[in-house]
Amino acid sequence: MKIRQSFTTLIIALAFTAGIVFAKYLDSSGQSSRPAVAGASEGVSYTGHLQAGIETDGGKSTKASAVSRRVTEGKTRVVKDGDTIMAAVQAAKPGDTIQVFPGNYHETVYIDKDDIRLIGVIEQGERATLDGREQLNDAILYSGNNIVVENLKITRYKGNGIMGQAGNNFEIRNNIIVDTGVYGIFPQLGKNGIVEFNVVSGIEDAAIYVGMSDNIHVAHNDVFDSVAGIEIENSRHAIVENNYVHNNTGGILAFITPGLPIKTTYDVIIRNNFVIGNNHKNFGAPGSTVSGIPAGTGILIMAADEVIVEGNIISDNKTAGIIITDHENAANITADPESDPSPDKVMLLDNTMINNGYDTLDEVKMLMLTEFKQGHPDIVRVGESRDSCIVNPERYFTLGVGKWRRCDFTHTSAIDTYLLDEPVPARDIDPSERGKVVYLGICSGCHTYTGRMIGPPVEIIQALYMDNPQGLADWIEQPTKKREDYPPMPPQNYLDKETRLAVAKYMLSATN
Amino acid sequence: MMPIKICPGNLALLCLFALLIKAGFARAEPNPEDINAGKALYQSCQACHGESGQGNAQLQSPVLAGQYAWYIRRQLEHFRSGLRGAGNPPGQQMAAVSRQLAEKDIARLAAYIETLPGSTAANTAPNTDNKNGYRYYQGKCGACHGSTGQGNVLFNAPKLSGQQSGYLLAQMKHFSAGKRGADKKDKYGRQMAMMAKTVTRQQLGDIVNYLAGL
Repeated sequence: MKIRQSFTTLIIALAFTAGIVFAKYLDSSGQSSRPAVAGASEGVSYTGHLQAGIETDGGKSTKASAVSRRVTEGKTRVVKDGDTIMAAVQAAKPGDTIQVFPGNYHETVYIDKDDIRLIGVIEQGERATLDGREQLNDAILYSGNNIVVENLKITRYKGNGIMGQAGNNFEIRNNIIVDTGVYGIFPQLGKNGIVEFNVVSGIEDAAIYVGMSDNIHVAHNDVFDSVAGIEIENSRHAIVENNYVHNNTGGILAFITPGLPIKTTYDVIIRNNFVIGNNHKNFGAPGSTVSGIPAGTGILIMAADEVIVEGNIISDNKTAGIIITDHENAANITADPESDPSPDKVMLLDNTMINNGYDTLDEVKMLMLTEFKQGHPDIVRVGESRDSCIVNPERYFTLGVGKWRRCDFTHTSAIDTYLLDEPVPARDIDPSERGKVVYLGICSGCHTYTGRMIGPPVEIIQALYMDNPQGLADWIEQPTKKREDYPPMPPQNYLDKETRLAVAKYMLSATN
Repeated sequence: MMPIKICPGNLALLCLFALLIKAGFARAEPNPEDINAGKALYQSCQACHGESGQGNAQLQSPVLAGQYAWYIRRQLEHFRSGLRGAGNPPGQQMAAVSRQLAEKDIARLAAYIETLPGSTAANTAPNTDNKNGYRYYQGKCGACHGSTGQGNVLFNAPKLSGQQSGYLLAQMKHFSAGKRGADKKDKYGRQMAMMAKTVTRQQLGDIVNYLAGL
């Protein structure tokens, strides 16, 4: 990441206009001249990428929506128990709203048009329930832009509850998602989206997984009993706030997964969440990336840059409250020469941390020996982390952050949201790019180039199908179970024949 | 707490699947006469591969015990046809030996070798002293050879667990140097050669140590 000169200038300018005597935070040795007891509500706010108007229009905003405003309302289509939602989607035109009444729906819904709102009708507490009965892979897939999915209950699927495949401007709100396989809510390759007020549990990878996306707001969700609670992965300009994240293996994660087509994660604010008792046994597939998360991890920052952790209550996580690691020190991660492996510019502001690290890993105990410390670690840093800072470090039991400087700011209240003022215009995909977009929007949700995320690495797929794109296209349409220790691949038969061949060809030519 | 079940909800079908396909991973029931005939034939292999198929590192003879019959068959046929063995002394010896065998002898021998109790993968946890071996094994090999080196007939990928490190290293060298898996006719060898070329020396050393620990 570039370090902007203007950033410091701006901060100083702000400080002076606010008339704050600021020297105590800027002491070059990182030692403050007075006991540093910075209150979170006073002092200077972080302004992040606000001045980088090209990247985000975030900031003060009362917006709570990400989809484009409708100029004219389309038709409202009603789906009742006994009908299928898919039939309504097929009949719908952009601008339509589909209302789904309580009932049991056993289907996969694929939305490949723009501006569709799929809204469950809740009557006397009863919801429309999509039930995969442990047979179907995916409940809802959308590749359209300006999609809203609200008020549904989704359960017993093997792949994904709700997966976005390169759709921009989305809102996923107020859904109950229980045991939907690998991912619960998974917007992949989307720009400008909201995930809020969902209750997600029993997921074997990430309950909420923001993958390769930008300008995202994840708020007010209740996430539990999963391997990873909330993951911000290979994404930028994301805020994760006011969530209740409990009894997962790892609570909130900001990651760079190596081997994905998009190589960075930066500018992530994790604030005002409850991150409590994430000690669930790891039930991810052994050998997969997520199976390397130690049970008892509150917040995990791996290789991601400019991650701010502020105002969270982080308690009862047995391994550590916050772990900051590079790729080298993380389990089950293969290196990617194109990703910077170290988590830089991590900023730990005030957090309330209680009773973490009471049953920690041997590696962490070793680390304690090197620092001649004994106790229960709240914060653990392993591997390189350049240019990171912390406020009030003396409040916590820390390992590996003793040399960090004090941050120049104490809160992030200047930033309400990273959602865009103007929704992203509809994606215009040149037919020659079709294979690439599908690879990014779908395949890389489970396959990285060199590592074992969910499915086998792309490198291995290339060896298996070296001269045979048609064979791979056929597999994509109708996979069979070949590996006893990998989850089954969902059939991608909703894609047309040309698209399947295009993505197979692209996949066989990818180089990282 | 979620109740911990043997087959938790979202894996239930997977488990069922695993039970269903167990048949696929299981070994075909060979007929006892073939096995006995194979045992007699195996007498001439013992000098190098050991009486129970344990191999001999000094002689660069790999472990055979418990290797799948279909893999043994394919390799003997490759030795016989010249797809394997050229340009390295132990391989040339095997090529000479394989030309003494009739087609049905190969099948019998393979059926017998499969019955020899080989080491089974028992250790599925990453060894903390060798994190790299585990992560790179999973990233480069496990998708075909199985998470614990158990092999997978559906990818024609042999069992690796229990094999000698020296043999594995030598074969990887052959694959990446074009001595093995270079011929158009050898589809599975070509797949392996392509993967072998993606592994660095350091990664290979770690992977082989990981396998040796299984």
